Amino acid sequence: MSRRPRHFLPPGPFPPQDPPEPDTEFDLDASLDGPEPETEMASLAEEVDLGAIFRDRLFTGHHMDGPARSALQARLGQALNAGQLDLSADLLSAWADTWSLSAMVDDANDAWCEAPDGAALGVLGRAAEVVRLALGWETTPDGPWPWPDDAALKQAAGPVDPTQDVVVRRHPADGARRLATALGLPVVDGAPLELPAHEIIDPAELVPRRAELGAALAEGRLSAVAFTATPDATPAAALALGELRLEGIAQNAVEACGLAGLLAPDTPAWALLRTPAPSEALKVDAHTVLDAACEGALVPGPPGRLRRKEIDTVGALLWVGPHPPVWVAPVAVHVLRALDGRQPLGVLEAAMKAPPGALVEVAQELVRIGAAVQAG
Amino acid sequence: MSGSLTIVGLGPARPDNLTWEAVKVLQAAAADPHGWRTYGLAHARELATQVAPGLQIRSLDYLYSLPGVDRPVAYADLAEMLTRRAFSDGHHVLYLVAGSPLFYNDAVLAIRRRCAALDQPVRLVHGMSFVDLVLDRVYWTGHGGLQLWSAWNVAHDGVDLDPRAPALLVQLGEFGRAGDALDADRSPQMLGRLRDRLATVYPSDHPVIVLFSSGPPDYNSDGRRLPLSQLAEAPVPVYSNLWVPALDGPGLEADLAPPTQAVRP
Repeated sequence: MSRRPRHFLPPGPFPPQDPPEPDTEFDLDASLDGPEPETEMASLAEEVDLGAIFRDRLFTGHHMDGPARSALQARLGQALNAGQLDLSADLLSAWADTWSLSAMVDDANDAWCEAPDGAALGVLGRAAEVVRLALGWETTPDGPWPWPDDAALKQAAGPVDPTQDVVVRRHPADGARRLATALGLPVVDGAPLELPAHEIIDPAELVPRRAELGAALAEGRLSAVAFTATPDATPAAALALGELRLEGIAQNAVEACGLAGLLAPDTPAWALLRTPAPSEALKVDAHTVLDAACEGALVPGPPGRLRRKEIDTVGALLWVGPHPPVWVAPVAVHVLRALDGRQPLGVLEAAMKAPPGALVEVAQELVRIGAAVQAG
Repeated sequence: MSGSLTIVGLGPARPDNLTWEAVKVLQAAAADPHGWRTYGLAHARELATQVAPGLQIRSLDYLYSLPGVDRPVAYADLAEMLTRRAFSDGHHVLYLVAGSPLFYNDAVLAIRRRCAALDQPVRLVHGMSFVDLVLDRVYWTGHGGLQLWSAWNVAHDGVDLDPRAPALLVQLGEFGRAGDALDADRSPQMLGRLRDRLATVYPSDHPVIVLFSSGPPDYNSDGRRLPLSQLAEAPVPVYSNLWVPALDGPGLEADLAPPTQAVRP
């Protein structure tokens, strides 16, 4: 028994796009009375959206909490051993973000699949970077989205039939040709992605075309300008890029998240999507019993210090929630780990052989930043 | 194209110090967001939106953080961009600046010069200058004139003061030639150089007065009188200024005036 032809959509961020539906009574009548619609064959095909498949597999709290974090930890160790401290900083930052992403990414994925949403895209954009670093994949032709290696693509696609399966291209930068090469399938043009007006240019065009592009963005004829590669870090390019960001309604979103940013121009930067953990106004003393409100880990330095080529053990406080990690002295992690919700701080202090008052002082600071809460 | 370029001085700090003309311009822009494109730095945004809620202001803060782009280059670029937006693209452009557009504002200077070169008009909405606030903690008679210099000019550029006239040296907290960083903690560096330069003209016990603002929300004028020899012993707030009385001027000009009574609506 033959199976339905399959139409593969490349990996990427774009949410499901329903085929346009007739919106007038006339259209409905016409479709009922007239000849068979031209889309009949297309409707027989099975659409395989690899973007959605990979998002549903990898952009999940479960993946962040488990495989992604483990992979990042392993890659961090390798990078440190190889003396690759810039990469180590990126990996450490991604590893630390798996805690907050584990609490945020499922909702973001659901919301994004429902309708374009800036906050959701901001979360998914950071998740994309984390997944890419964890798996060591390249990026899609457009933005930070991970492009699976050939093995993962073939595994996700399953057995293909080049006589009837195709890759559908919806945008010149959606990676359709790359996917077709990986799967050994032909490419066909599908309904174009419905994206607001934009232009994709070679970075060398940025400075010479600055005035023209700035005017188009200011007048709303374009929402953003995307680049085929990262523009050079020259003062002239920086100033030109500054103007595009100033005038383009979706420029920042596109630079952060690729063309998907066109659908959600208000996408905030990842740094703005998290806020410090809430804290209690609690005066701590030796009789206070505290519980940890987050996890603590000892790591080889905050990312910024790693980038300065300094390796030093520091503590990281990590919340399973929309809160950024806090980098602290290692002693804070030791104290956090000792908080068990049962024993008063005075008892813990004696057990840890800490100087009098020292543990209370650290615990007070943990409460102030929302890392510890009163037990019970 | 029938665009226009208007530079709006927002005064030193508080909405109360805005001119009525400035308020009207800002409110008109807020009421017609498609008719006006408004640009400004963060502190201008805070002030402007207090009198014109909803005013959409495009942030120029990025100009101060571009690697390899110093202030003169940034100001020239800003002038080119705003004049292009107004006179080539045909938009009505508002550029908001703190204080008076005409006092120590290199960006405004660049815009005005570019407009002149293009033979295009620029509208100036004047704003109260910080000098008005600064002078309320001293008694300037005006009888001997007034020297107005950037502290950097005196400390680093070899500018000699005339000891027969009082001097107001502005921006004590600025320690970069291009004004590229402001940090109160580093002001003693500037103050030390300034003290040494002034000591070539004035005796070490010559009184000087550090003039500064209390900051938000009241922006009261504060002052600290001290002998020249002690000028570098403590940091001063960013945007502090130094009053140097004339050597043989009226004794009144060497006094620290009491705070003026703030009148709040």
